[in-house]
Amino acid sequence: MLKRVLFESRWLPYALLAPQILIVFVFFYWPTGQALFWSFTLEPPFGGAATWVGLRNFGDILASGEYWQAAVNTAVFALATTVVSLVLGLLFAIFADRGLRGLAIYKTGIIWPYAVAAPAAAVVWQYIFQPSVGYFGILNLVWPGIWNPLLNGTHAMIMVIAVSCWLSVTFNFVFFLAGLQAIPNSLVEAAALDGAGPVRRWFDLVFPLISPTFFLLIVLNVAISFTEGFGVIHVMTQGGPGNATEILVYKIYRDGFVGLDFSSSSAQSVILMGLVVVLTLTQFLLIERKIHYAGDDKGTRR
Amino acid sequence: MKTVFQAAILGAAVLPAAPAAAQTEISMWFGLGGRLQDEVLAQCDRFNAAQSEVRITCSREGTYDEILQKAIAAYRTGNHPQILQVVDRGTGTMMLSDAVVPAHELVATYGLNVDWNDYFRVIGNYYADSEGNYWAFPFNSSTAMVYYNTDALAAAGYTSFPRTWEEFDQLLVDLRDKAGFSCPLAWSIDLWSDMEQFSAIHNIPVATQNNGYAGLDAELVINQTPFVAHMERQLGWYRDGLVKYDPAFDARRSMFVNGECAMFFDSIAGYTSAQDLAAETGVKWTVAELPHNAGVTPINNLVGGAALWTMKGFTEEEYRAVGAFYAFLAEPEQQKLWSDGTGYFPVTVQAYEDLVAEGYYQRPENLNRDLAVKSLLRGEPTDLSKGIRLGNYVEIRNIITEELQKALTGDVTVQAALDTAVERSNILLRRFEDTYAGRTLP
Amino acid sequence: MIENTRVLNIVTHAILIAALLVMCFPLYVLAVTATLPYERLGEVPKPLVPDTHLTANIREAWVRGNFGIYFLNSLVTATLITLGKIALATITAFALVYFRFPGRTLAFWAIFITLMLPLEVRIVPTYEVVANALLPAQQILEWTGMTWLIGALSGVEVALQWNMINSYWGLTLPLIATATGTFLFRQFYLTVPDELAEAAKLDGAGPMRFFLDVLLPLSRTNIAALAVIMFVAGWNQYLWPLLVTTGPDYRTLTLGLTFLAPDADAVGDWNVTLAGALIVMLPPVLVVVLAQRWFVKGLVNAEK
Repeated sequence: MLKRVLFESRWLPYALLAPQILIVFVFFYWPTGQALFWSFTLEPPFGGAATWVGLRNFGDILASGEYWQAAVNTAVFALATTVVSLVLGLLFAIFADRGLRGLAIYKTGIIWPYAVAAPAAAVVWQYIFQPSVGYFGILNLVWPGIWNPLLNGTHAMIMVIAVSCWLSVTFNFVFFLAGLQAIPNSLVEAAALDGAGPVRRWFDLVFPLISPTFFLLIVLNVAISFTEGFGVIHVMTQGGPGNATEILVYKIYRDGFVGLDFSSSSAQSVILMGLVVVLTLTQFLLIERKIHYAGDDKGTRR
Repeated sequence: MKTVFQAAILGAAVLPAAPAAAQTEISMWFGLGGRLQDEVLAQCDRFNAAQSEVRITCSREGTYDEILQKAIAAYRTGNHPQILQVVDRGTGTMMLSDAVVPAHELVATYGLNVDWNDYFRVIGNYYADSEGNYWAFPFNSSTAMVYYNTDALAAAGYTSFPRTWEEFDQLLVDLRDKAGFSCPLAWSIDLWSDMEQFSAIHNIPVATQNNGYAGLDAELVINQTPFVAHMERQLGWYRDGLVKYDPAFDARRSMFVNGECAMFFDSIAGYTSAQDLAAETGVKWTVAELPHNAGVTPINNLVGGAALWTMKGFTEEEYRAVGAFYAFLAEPEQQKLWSDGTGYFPVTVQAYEDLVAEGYYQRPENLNRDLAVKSLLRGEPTDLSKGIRLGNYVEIRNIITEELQKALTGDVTVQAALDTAVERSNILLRRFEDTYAGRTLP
Repeated sequence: MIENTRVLNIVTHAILIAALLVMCFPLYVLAVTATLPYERLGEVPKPLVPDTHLTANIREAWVRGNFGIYFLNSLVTATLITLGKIALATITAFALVYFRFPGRTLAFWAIFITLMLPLEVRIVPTYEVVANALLPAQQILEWTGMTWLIGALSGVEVALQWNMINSYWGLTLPLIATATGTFLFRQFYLTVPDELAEAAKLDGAGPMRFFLDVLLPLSRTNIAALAVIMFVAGWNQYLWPLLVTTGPDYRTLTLGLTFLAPDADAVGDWNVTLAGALIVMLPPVLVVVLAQRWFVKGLVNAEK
């Protein structure tokens, strides 16, 4: 994964990095540092003397059942959203890649939701999923009680996952389609001549070639499920019914922004940040060493 | 000597139209949206037109929760407005914030012309300290009512609306069986009417220490009062299929105004909206006071809505301007225009009496609107019917609702749900108490 | 491709048509609702055939929502964010991929970690920094005793101040760091054949020469793709503009839309709100649809 050919300069790489590092420092790490401080105090919302409480905030959080519930919800939500939208995106892309007539229409039709803001999408879908006056109300007319995301936590979770997938499947579709189209036809044809069937070809040839795309998408999808999931849940369920759809990011927002408990909210974001770091490191360690970039093709290294 | 290095590339904020030389500029942030937003802006325009010394800029900066958070961020960095509209449940936080000039001090310090006795005491109680001094100016005020379809009630054989919850139970059955309504009530768990109003009307506590008024060490007691039975009653309606559940307020109202559901609970501030919507569908309706348990003498409903708070950090000139604005809002004429346009009731006695004398509430389009004020004035307010003043209260309401939703799906009993809610809420109350260690509520 | 059987074609069309329906249904619902007159909003089941009030609703939304000025603000904000992110992503990724230097891995992670924590979770401290972007510098000067030193030497008290609240700076600068973009370009640069850099070096070209003359032109489609992503993301911001603007002067279109949406106590004219939503969605949708050629190609190294 490293370049063989490098440039030498003592100062240039630092100069190139400086702007982004500076911005990240000022607008990300500085506030995060502030949050870190708050997580060890009880911070009054309007400011003033904060009381140092050591690890109490963390203790309160880890002792609360709702927090663990939110952690489980987050895992379910992120996993389901990532898997479903990756699979659907890939499926659509494989078929679109066959290049039949009408491709332009299909492509456009599948891509456009990418442009829709998560809260806006959530508003429209809520209108559709509403179990009595919405379009899904029809289901309940036929089989009463079969669809009730307002009260049934599982239904609500399915609903927010579905909307998140709707938002991110476009992204995955685009990436996969591009990845598939980048595979030279000659390669595939050669494999076909060798007698490899479509499934065989896919696993032996296509999959390895699009594996960098896959890796990129897994990482981005997990991130998207964290950030976009926020907008969807905020509009559609506010974490309910009960705590059925409350994910960690939303809980941090709600405790801090609505509940005005800055300290608990900060402590939660500190924990989440730790989790994110571990998660990302794992992804990189587990996956990136297995994939292979075009630039490595010469096999002179490793 | 203090030198400020101002970054040269500063994007200069565009200020509103250049002020006339002697005008004092003040601003107010509020959270009312939609048509209510237009009413607030109209009121600010009237103030600007009525005099020339002060110019107020009113702007809607988000929902109630959003503007409070925004004001907090702004206050911490000195970007806040003079006047902030804060929803009733934020009162405790505001009083302890050390960021506000209490209304009574503002009036006393600057010798402003405000007649506190003209405000309805029962409204002011929500925003007053233990001595009865006002900390904020009552602004938009409402209370919870029952909205019902009059044709449906007649078809069920009723000539007047039931007074007790026991009769209300029967009404639901009659609406289904006699009037043929598959949905007698569009319903949700709404703690404002279910818990706060119910507790005040029945003179029972939500929390110890007079619902938090007397101290930060208050604890919730809602798992030990008739509120438990009240929620069991309502969940019973749901189990018996007498109500249609929808947590989205919009959906409940549309089920009511399109004639599908015969009743729903809403604030009196929804009166004009319901009127507009029902005019299209031809549904005939009116409002009634919330029922009470049999064998109980009901006392006052609680007020809901928001008040105007004055923020610290401004000049005497600006505070005088703020005072002039408050005094203008309290004028009977302004109160009448405001009440008529929005559906909130007037917050001053004078304005209300003027409206009664004019026969305003006798007009067909305003019929029974005065029941809201009457339900506020019912009986003598006690220490338990002044309001709720708990820390982290927004979040506590969320917790109680969440836990009750679990009872609604049948996972737990109402009692168990409320036990959990109390336990969780008390942790938040202790966190709030410790955040303001050594402080007491005024 | 290779197998061109009839059955497979039919399956392909069936799956793609199903995908099309699912992806487009919400837009259809939105569009239909935006054509309804107010009186028809309460209908159950919801109408599926358009009515005739679309232009009236759109006009109403535009005027009542004060969309003229907000539209401009959104355009400026989204464009600035896009340009800033592209500039930062390309140069950062270049430094990370083509140089080996102490702190390289640390820098990569420092940027990458920001990907997963949305602004929403640290919004108040971020606001405090934006209210004075030089606060960190000031604090560091104080901690290191510099303010005291300067004060003692020159009698000048240093109080750094740069308030970005209610300005385009405040709307854009905190959002232009881009982990996604940096990551994307890193992935792309990694797939660029080493021979190109080798050849450039043999020709005696310096790193910036190589970056400007070889790498950037090669990344044209990637840049276009990133521009699309970032424009959409910038346009769709909600919580940050809400907090960082006061009054209508710098408000963005997404904010304008929520201000148009009916409140609990008000009349729910969702037809106008959804007509407003159509206006708000139009620019990013146009960008995505019109630029889809580059969008698709640019996201992955696409050399046939």
